[in-house]
Amino acid sequence: MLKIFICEDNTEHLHNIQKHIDNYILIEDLDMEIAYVGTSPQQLLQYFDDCERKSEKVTGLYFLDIDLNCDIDGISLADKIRQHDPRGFIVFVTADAKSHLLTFEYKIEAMDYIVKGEDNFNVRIRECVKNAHSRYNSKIINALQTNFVFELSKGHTISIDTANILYFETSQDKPHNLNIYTKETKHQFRGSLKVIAKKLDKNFFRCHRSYIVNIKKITMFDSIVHQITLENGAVLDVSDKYIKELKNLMRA
Amino acid sequence: MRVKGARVLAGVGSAHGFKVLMFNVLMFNKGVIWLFVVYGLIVLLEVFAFYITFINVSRVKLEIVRTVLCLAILAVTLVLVPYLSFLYLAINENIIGIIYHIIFVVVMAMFTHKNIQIIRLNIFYGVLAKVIFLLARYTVAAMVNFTFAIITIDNVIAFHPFVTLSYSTVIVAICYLISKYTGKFLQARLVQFDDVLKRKFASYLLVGASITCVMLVVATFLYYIVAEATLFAVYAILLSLQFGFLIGAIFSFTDNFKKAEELRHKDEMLANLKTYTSAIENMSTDVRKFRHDHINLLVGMKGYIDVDDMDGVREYFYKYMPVFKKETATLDSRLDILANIKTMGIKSIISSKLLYAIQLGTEVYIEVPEPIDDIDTNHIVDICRILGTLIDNAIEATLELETATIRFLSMRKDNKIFFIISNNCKKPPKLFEISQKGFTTKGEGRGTGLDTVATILEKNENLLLVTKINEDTFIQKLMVLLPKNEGDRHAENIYL
Repeated sequence: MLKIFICEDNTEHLHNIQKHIDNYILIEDLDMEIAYVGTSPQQLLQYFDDCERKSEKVTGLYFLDIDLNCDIDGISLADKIRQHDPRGFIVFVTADAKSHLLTFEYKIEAMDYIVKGEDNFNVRIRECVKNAHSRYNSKIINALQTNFVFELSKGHTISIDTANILYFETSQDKPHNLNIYTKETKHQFRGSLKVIAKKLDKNFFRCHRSYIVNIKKITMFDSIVHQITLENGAVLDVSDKYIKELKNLMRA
Repeated sequence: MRVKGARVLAGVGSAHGFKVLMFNVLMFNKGVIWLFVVYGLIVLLEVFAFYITFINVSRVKLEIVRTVLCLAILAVTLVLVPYLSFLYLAINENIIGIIYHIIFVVVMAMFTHKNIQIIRLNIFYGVLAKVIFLLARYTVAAMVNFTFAIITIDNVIAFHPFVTLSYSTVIVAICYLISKYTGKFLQARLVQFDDVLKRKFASYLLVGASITCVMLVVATFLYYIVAEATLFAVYAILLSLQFGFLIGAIFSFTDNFKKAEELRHKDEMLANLKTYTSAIENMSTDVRKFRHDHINLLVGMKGYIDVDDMDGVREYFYKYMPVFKKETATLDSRLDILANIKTMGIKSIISSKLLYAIQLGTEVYIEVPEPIDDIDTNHIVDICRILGTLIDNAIEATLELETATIRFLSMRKDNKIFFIISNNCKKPPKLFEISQKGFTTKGEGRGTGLDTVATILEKNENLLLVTKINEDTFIQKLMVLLPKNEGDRHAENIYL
């Protein structure tokens, strides 16, 4: 069950948030419960200690204020929460979100943030609850996602969900290296297409001497000029000898 | 350099000594084809030794094309030039020597570095060193010829060991002086490098030239007295040494260049630091001004309170209290957050660049949620260069936007230190285009910044750059991988 924690130094705001969440859970009949509502970060962290004593695992949805009027602020609180609950959903409720956006995204990996005093404050809270609920449930289903793991340099490895990979390409500027593309990123690592082709599942297809492409990510296939277009706009050539096979795969 | 220098001496030197001996044998047996074949094989050996040593010393991975080209030129020069000249042209072997030595130096210099400017320098100083060596050689040769001529004229046929020894000593002394003063002369001319490095080049040259002199004395013995086996051996060893020191002289320049470059960067960092300090100073004046204003305002309020005028207080408060005016969150207080970055050089480059962005009217958000202090000092210069380029790019990208926003985050996570720079942009470039050489959105001839970044990243296994593009934001993540703790082997996610 997903547990909800609210920590906010302003009691008026605190109860406002609690009321909305309570109502929403009741109306939608969601499988969630409010575990902690209060102003003190220490008490919230205490909850984890209690759970650990009972060796329970917590996955929670946290609404945290940044300015807690206390010796730790919301960001370091979130950081501590992450140590206990790495998969939890953290939402910041703050008056000044703009100056912490990157920290939310990269440091805390917060799910969302809500700006206090905005008109649609209540709507946003409901959205967050709904989002966390659906993600939590889909996470249980999708626990079986496969990752592609590769080594960047000595001892440092990266793993990427195979569903996010667009294509592999042999590197032109560095021999024996491959480039791996997702929609948003690119990495280079040492390897050969031949070897990784064996590791990958059937969604990946060797369409050219220097490409392996994720079939799910092809947006356009032009069998006349022998080219495919991918989600990120990249256009790749397809070799003559693979074109027929690719055609069949695309139909299927 | 010390270990590598020894390798250079041993590997290339001995191969070269071998080759020159063979060359001498060839000179006496012009036109014997099988000797050429042997000679050719030895040359190939030397070229191979060369290749190995140069790769080791310069730590430059060459592209295949260039390597093959260099090796081919070397082999052709070394084999064909003497072959042709001896067989068909009958040119003086000294001239051949000069020609192919110079070609040799040029090709050698091409091995040493990727940077064309450094190659040019290497060629210049390599040729210079070679010319000095050759000059020393011919001077000595002339002197030796001259003395022996006198000896012959005077009909002193017996080469008394003492006579020859004293002659040799005088000649060596003269040559030592010549090369020493050449070295000094050079030292005076090489202004752009610092003293230690100048001395290094000159000393290599000095030792090399001295060895040349000794070598020639031995050689004269060889030519004029008897071809004795031990003397040949001594000659070969000397040849190796001489050649080794020649290469040493050239490499000390490659080194020099690198160090000069580092020096320049340090200067740049110092300049950044100055900008930062002045920014801090401005800030403190701002704070003083603010406090002063505050007291004035409170005094003003006191007037209303004294006469119990609540409405007046209210009006006054909302009208004048600076806390409630947005503008007072001035630019400088934002730079305050950077105090969490404890590495001076990095802090200074970030602050000066971001300050510049603020002055241009860009909205800048700086986030450093925790102290960043354990960056390996070896990386600092490289990180500074990369961050400088990235922030410059961000500034340039946002220059023409109506609402320009640049965000900067530095944090630590799973054994990595992150520097994240994000900016909004009108039409973000495609990810697969950026990595192409010389890619730029800024027009012809630009786009060297990202190239430089790419070269730095290639050199450093511990630096990693990930570029991420959303619809209208461009995010660059620079990761500094810290040494891993034991027992922390599982694969980690780099957040995508």
